Amino acid sequence: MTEIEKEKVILPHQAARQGAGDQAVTQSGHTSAKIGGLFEAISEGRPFQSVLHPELASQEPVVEVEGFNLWYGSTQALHDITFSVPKGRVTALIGPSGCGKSTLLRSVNRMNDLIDSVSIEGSMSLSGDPIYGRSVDVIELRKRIGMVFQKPNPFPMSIFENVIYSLRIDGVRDRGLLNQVCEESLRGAGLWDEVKDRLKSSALALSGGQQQRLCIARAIAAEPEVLLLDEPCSALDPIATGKVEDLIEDLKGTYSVLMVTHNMQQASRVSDNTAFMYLGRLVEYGPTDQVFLGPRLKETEDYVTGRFG
Amino acid sequence: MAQHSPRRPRRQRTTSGRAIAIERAAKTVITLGGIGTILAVSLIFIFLVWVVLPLFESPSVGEGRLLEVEAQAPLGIGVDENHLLAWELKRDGTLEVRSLSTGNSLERRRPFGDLAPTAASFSTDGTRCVFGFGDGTVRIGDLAVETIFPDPEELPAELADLEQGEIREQGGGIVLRTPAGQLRRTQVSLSLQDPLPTGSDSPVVAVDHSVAPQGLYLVTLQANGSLRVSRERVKTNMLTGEETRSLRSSELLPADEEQDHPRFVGIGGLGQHAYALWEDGRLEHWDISEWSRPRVYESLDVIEDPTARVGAFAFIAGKHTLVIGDDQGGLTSWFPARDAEVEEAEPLLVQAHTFPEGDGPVRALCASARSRLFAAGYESGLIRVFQATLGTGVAELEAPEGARALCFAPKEDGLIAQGATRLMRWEVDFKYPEANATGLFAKVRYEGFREPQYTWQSSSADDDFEPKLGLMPLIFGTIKATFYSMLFGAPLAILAAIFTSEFLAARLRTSIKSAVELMASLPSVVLGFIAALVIAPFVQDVLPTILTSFLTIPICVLGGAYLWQMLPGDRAVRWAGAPRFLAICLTLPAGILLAMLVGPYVIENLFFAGDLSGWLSGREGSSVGGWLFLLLPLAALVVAIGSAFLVAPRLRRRSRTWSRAKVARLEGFKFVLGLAAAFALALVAGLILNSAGFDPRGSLVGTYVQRNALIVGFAMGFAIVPIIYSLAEDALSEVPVHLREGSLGAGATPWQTTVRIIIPFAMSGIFSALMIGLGRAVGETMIVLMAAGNTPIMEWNIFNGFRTLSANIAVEMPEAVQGSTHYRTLFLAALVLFGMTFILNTVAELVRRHFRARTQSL
Repeated sequence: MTEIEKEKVILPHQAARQGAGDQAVTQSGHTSAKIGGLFEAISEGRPFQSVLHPELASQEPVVEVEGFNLWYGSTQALHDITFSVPKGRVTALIGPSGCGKSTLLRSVNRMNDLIDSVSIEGSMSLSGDPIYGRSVDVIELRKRIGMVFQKPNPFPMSIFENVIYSLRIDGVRDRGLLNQVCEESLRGAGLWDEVKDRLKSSALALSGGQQQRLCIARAIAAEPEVLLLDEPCSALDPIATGKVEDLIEDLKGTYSVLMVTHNMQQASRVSDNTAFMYLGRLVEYGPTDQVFLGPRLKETEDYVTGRFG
Repeated sequence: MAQHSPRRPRRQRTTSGRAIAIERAAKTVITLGGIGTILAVSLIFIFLVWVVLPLFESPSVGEGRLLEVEAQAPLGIGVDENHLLAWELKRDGTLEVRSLSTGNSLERRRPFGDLAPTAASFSTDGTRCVFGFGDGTVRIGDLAVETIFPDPEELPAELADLEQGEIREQGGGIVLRTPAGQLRRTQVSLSLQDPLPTGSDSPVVAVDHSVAPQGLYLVTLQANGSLRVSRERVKTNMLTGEETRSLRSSELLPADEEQDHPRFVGIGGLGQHAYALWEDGRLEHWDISEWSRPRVYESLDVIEDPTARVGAFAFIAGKHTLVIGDDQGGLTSWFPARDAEVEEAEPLLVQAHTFPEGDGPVRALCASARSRLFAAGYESGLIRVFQATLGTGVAELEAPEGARALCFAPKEDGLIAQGATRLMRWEVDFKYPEANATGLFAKVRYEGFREPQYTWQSSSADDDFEPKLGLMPLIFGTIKATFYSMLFGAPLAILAAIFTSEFLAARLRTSIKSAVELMASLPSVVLGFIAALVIAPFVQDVLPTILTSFLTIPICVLGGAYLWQMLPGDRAVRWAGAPRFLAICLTLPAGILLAMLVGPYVIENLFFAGDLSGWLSGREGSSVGGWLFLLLPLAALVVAIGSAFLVAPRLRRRSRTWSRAKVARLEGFKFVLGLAAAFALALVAGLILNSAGFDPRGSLVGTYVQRNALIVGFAMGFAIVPIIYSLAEDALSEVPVHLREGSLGAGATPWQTTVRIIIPFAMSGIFSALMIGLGRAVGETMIVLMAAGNTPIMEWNIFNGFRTLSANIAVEMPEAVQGSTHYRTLFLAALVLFGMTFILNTVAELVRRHFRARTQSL
């Protein structure tokens, strides 16, 4: 472990509980003095502290991340991430490619377990229950988290079977309940009217946008505590993207959403909070309007306005 | 457009000649290679068909040639193997030899002096002949066509200018200059022994003989009606070396002038059966195996039509089958056969075939010495050649004035027929009459079998043996081998592939996969050798344990899984890595240990009357134990399905709020209860089946033979596992990772993901893997050759052997005479094998495409 990793950072929820909102402001004022120096500092691996907006402290968290580090083999992909995903809101993760957004997202439902060489440090919790830990049953954990991937991944089965997949694997056989959940989830995903007449036909026959909304329907059918969206629109055309964005808008309030996006407009349109990441570090995290309109850091502003790079 | 820097030359916009040349060369080579491969496969197919096709050709009959001779109904006729000369033994005792090319009489002699034989019997396959005389004596002799190379100086001078291949009549024979330049004479020789009395001085009217290792057996009918069997005894004087011969006879029918006398007599096989046939169709059949004490087997009527009269009687080569022709044109064949169902049954005659009716009385019958062909001459002049085994007509010839006597050329490449004034000869190529679609693929009533059956028995030590070329037992053996090895290999390979691709840590995956693939590099002859010499005796020794382990290992593995869930606290989750793997590995020895403890004592005593192999082979002990054993997997399946549909939903509702430990205990209890239920179900089913009279012995299980389908299943399973495993693992690994993640992300367990997502998606690949494994099993030779016992029998009994098409080809091809029926039938076996794999692969490809179409859009 290097010096930097051991460096203590302020945990957002601690900050929130302490009510020390101004602390973040001091930090940001402190670091933003040097223009362009921050990215340099990060790439050189110098100590650095995330800028967390105090407004977040008042929001009740559903996922909390504390000092989270992740390595792919010997390469560190996430450095000391500390943040929380508030309940009932949409949180967007933005940042240039390779900054660790997806890795962070996939760490929440331990999808990275599938990769052999991954090792982690730090902790995460879901509604207060630890996510990492030797006695955590990862299957039970994933039942509480829904996930939608970058590429639509409907299973090679009927639309109906796709939607109720999570109920099937739980062994639910009650036909009425299955039909009810299917309809509710498809309505929730705004797909019901398009597919209600062909529930028994293959999900693979749907268009890309429909497939992605089907995946969202599948995810919300399990009534997850948090919904992870990994660049859900990157493989879709603008119209389908619009529909999915509308859907995310509708999910707001009912579901806690953590989404990764490359699209600044999308982040600004649909999210309540936005976190900006760079090279495996959380740079700035705050309410979306603040991050986009009045970021604390020059670097964040450069990135969200497209002047970065 | 961007400005070019002065240093960089503009990119050339034409493709260079070199690139084009390479492109063309590559295209040509690849095209040639592809076409060459297709061509090679097609050529193999064409070659096989080319070799096999003659089997189904119809015989070609050459133009009949007529020779004007002075003839009457002779005692016997014969021809030499090169169709140079024919001999005829006339009723007046004259032996006449004629040239077959000119019809000239070459020699005329009276070997019996002034006497004329009253009866004669000639071997179809040898030179031995027996003549009966009016004084009640018989003379044994040897009549042969012999080839000698005379001293050129003794030959007349005019033969010196004989051209190669030219023939000349000389000295009672025919002289020919061979391609080597020698002069060769073909002539007829007859040597006779002294007359032997039969014990009665009444004239001998019919005689038949059979040459057995113990000596010559005779049956003689005398004019007074006395029918006797005799055996030739040879006494050698120790001092002079002189041989004295005598006959020892016993009487079958006493002399009786009042009664009708038989018309024909015969002695069958190696002197075990004697027959007498009356003109009205009555046939008496004696057992003369103890020749001094003959006894009647049976007396039957061999002609249905009461008005018909027997016209001709002959034996087929080997003297087991009788052919009887009547004066209405009817022709039937009979042979003695024991009833296999009855213990110590007597070999009674059964009618083998009824041949198509001819257009007039049958006057002459004659059997070929080389095969099961025989010819029937009708009074109308029609001559028909039949195949006795299959009962089929092979050829039809026309002799203008009817045939009084018939004879096959020794090489079966011709036929001569003697009429009233003419001798006719034909050159005939009979091709392969013993092989036709019926003979190869349908049930055939072979000599000695009461019922038609599928049999493969291509050769034997005995020349008189009837080849049995039914391919069905071999096809059945191939299917049986494939079935049992797939039964062992396929689940193992597929589950192993699932384990490595879905459950094993990625870093171990490659090394495990290579290790399994290394299994494929083991030569199959080594596998077969180990199976035959190590596994087979071992399994025979510990059979109860092995069989019990088929039950105890799954029970231990499943029981272990339930116990694991009952681990106190969160240990079941915390030890999910290496400790769990170790525990899984322990269940296997646990299962074996349990089988060792339970198998030989409890199971064998309880279910199999204390002796498993005795139980399997005999009818001793009740069949309940066997049924219980066989039905247990099925019963377990029924219980599992029943519990999944009836019990599980209720329990799930009830246990929703329960703790993990409580649910684990419940599930464990359910498992034990389910096991007991399965046992009970199997037991009840076994009792019902047993009381209904069903017994698994004789069908799925039966007499234990050391080299059997179980052993082949083990060994060949081992051979096909790496192939199926490797391809299935590839197919499973190729399932897009986003599907796996989608399912796992939805909270599915790896097993649920595998069953619901991975397997359906990888189905086409898994199916291909299975089919390629199946193809390997179908064509596998060495393992089955060494471990299957190679008995071409048709029964599903897992404890008995079989013979596959491939092993059969490997065993018999070296001994098959090139171009013979046997040789071509082996090629047909290869063609059938080719066809089987071809059909399998085509079906596999179609099914694979079907599965693939379902998943292609991902």
